[in-house]
Amino acid sequence: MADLFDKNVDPQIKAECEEHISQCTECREYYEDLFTTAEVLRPKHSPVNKNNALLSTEESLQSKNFQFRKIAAIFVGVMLLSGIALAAIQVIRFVNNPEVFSPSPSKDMQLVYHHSMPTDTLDTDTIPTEVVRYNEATLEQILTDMAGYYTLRLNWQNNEAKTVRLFYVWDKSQTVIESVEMLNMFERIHLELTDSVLTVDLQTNKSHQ
Amino acid sequence: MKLFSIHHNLDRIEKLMVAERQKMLQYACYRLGNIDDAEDVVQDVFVKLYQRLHGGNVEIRNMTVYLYRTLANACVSNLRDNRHTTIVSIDNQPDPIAPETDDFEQEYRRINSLLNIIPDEQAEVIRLRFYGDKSFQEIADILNIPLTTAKSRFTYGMEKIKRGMCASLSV
Repeated sequence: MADLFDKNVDPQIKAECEEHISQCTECREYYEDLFTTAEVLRPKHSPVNKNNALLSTEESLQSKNFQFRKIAAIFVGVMLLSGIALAAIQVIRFVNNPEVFSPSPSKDMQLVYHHSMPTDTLDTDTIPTEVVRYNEATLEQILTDMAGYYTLRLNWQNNEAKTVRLFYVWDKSQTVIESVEMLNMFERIHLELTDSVLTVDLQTNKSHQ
Repeated sequence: MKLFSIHHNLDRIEKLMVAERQKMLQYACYRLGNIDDAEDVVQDVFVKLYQRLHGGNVEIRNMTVYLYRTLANACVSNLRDNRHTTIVSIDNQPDPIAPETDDFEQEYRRINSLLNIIPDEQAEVIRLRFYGDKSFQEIADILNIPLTTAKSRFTYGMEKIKRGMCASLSV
């Protein structure tokens, strides 16, 4: 019967005893009496368990605190290492190419800036629309300008033609032929374009007649 | 070699403390009726064990058996010493910071009164079984008695306690 109250009861002995107890009333009553006595003697308010429970609670709190501190320390460590790594990368870049970090903008940077501008923001027109207004200007002055612009050579047949004064508006968008035709519309002025030579003649009243 | 021996002994004591301290504390607690005294006694037992191992030339075959024999003797000595000590309270007011040991004290008194009606050798087997959480084989080793004797002391002790309980109820 004492085996049933042992710490590690042999399962075979326990089964045999229980089988016998179930059949034998006298043994069952004897076992129940011993069981009741054992329950009376077993510790139920042991201060050791309370102390250990308090200790285990404190330990678990300490371990949680320790885990939180560990996570925080890892996070700070990672941030610190990444910061050092970024700083090292910047230092290496500066050592390899210090011009990029110089405060004054270089020519390359300016070029990059201009290339990066969109075409619709250009402040100058790509098509020249310049118009020259001549107010009582001599024909020599007008034709000299035209010859320089259209790359022509002037051939003056009459020196008197150089002194003729005109009110004329020269549109530089016109072709050389158009400009010559416009000037030929003036009375007495006769211009003739042959290759790149512009021959200038002044018709007299007689010849005009 | 000596250093290795010291570390080896410390390691053995540490393992023993982890495995046995709680059980020893509970045994001492139900033997002495006081958790503070129980802690002192258990600590003294481990100190004695360390001193004995550190002194050398002494081989302890079964550490657990040695611990519980020493613990039982220390508890008896403690009880003998405290028997002549009368504790006089400064005032009758209860200590507000004292732990709530009322339940334990009542339980201790009840259990101790039941164990006092049986022979001490039978009570010791029951104490080791219930409060030291030892098996009958371990109890036999600690008390240096045959296994059958340990079991019979347990059974006889329990029967006497049962009869004492019935007698007190009938009175």
